[in-house]
Amino acid sequence: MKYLFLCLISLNVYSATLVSECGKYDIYGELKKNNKLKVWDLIVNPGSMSEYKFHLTDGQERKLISYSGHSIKVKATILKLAPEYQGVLTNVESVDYAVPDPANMKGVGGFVLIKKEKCK
Amino acid sequence: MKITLIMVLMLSSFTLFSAENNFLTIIGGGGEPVDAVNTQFDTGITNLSAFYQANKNNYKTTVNFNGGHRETEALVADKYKDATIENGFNQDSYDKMIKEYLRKITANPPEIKEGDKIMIFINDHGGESKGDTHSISASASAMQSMNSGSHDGMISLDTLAQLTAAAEKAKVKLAIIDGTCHSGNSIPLSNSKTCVITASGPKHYGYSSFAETFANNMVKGKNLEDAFLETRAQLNGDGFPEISTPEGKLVQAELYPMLTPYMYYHDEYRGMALDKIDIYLKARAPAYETEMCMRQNEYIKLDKLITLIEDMTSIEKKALFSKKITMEKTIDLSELKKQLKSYHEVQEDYLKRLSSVRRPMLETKEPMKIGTDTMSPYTHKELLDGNWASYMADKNKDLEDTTLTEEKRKDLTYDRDFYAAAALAKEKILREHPEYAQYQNILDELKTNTKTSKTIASSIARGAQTAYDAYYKNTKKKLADGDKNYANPCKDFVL
Repeated sequence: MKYLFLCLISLNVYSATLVSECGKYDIYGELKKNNKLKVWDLIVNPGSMSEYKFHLTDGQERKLISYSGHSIKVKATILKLAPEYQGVLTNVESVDYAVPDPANMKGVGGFVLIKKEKCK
Repeated sequence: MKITLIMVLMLSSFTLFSAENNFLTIIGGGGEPVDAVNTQFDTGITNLSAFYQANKNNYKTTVNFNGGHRETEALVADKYKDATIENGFNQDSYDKMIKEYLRKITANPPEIKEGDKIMIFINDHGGESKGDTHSISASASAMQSMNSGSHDGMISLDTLAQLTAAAEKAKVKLAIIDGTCHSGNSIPLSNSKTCVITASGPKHYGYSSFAETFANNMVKGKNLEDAFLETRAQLNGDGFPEISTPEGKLVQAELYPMLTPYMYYHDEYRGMALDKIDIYLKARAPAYETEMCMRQNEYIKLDKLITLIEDMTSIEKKALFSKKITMEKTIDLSELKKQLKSYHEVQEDYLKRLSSVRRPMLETKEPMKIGTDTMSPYTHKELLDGNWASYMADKNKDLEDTTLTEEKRKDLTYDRDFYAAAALAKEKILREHPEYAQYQNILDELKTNTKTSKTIASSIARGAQTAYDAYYKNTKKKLADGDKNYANPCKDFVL
């Protein structure tokens, strides 16, 4: 019973920090220029062991770039689960500054699943 | 005589057998300008060398610090003559440190065993929360942002969790002294055997000479909790030093979130902005109307907590020739309350003004066109927030690459032209809406306003120190009386 409880806890942590299913997400991260590929990346949990990276398309870059240098919340769909902490965004719906929550001293980061969708 | 000699020999062999096996590793010194000859951490490393010199027979010391700054390297070589000196602080030398300690703890028989002590002393630049803890600067790469650190050589402290877990299991006493900015993010590394002490709270810079002062307070026989409390009382700068004792965690959880906005300020360091107050006001302004009551309630709660701290430390006093007993304050926090009230009002004024100017920006959209292509419109806010000249320059730089494919070159050129169009659109809306310039003007005011300066925040931090100290001592009495499972690895770590 104790172990089942522990598993449930670790499962919750896992789903909060990683993308394990396709769907529409609120993604909390920041933009960073990838000088090697000459594209901008949306990086979630930057610098951590659970860093997750999306290479932005030109259209996505133009939509998001004025938010560079800030923590942001991007509402977007993920239809393909990619290995090695690297994913592809489709349909970036909206973007806004991620307002820090005074009650959450760790700041903002990670994924919040809004609606499950079938992977393609 | 013979018996005495045997006893002396037995005692000395027992002492040898049970001799403590202690380790000190000093890391950091990164993120400094590449062309500098020294680092801002030299005073800290000098102060810490006094402890090293006095205790080098008791602590096997490794200096994994800096790399590439001539005077600092000479200083380390001079002050830490018999220590192991690594060739610069970087990801490899950091990983090696963790791996080596893990190996020594888990070896059979263990090379570091129950009761032995390890101290990791970090004197470095530190970024905001990343992952479970935060990241610090490696050498050979200059820091670009005082908030994120943001350069290629950032090292995550998350991996120290492997070491804290192993130390706890083996009952090895571990201390992590994180003297960096935003170091409160390291507190989660603590456990029943690991003491974590930090120079600042997770959301603040730590320009208070914490590492230097703490190093001065490291004296053989003193425990880390006492060294921390002494250091805190001696500081003059900003930040909010934290400790992972049960008392510290309780007091910090109550005081820090509410004090947080009032320890933000605007300043500059080596051309980089120290702009927590700007970021806070910009982030809160859009929701000002809905959050107004919440902010007011938080402020009132803080004011009440400070009054409570004054009351809980008051003592009963009986007047001469009278039976009447009165309560007399042992600490006076009225100046802190006055400063908080004043700064609260200043922030309210900024939020009101920013919010009223910003609203129309969010609602109005500007159509975007390149040639005949019509693109998704930008809101006026997005156009105003964008640094279009810099995005264009970035694309021009990318276009200098002669190995680009034709398709990539076309895409980059298109993006550059798009950002040029956005720059023109920004100019246009600023001409058509002169009131928008107000938004930037309000933010620019922060740069010179003495009411949002480091002096104000530091003054509040100093007042908060008195409140912290009183609250900490009061909490200590209660915890020590009540909790049988009370564990305090900072008190148990005696230098």
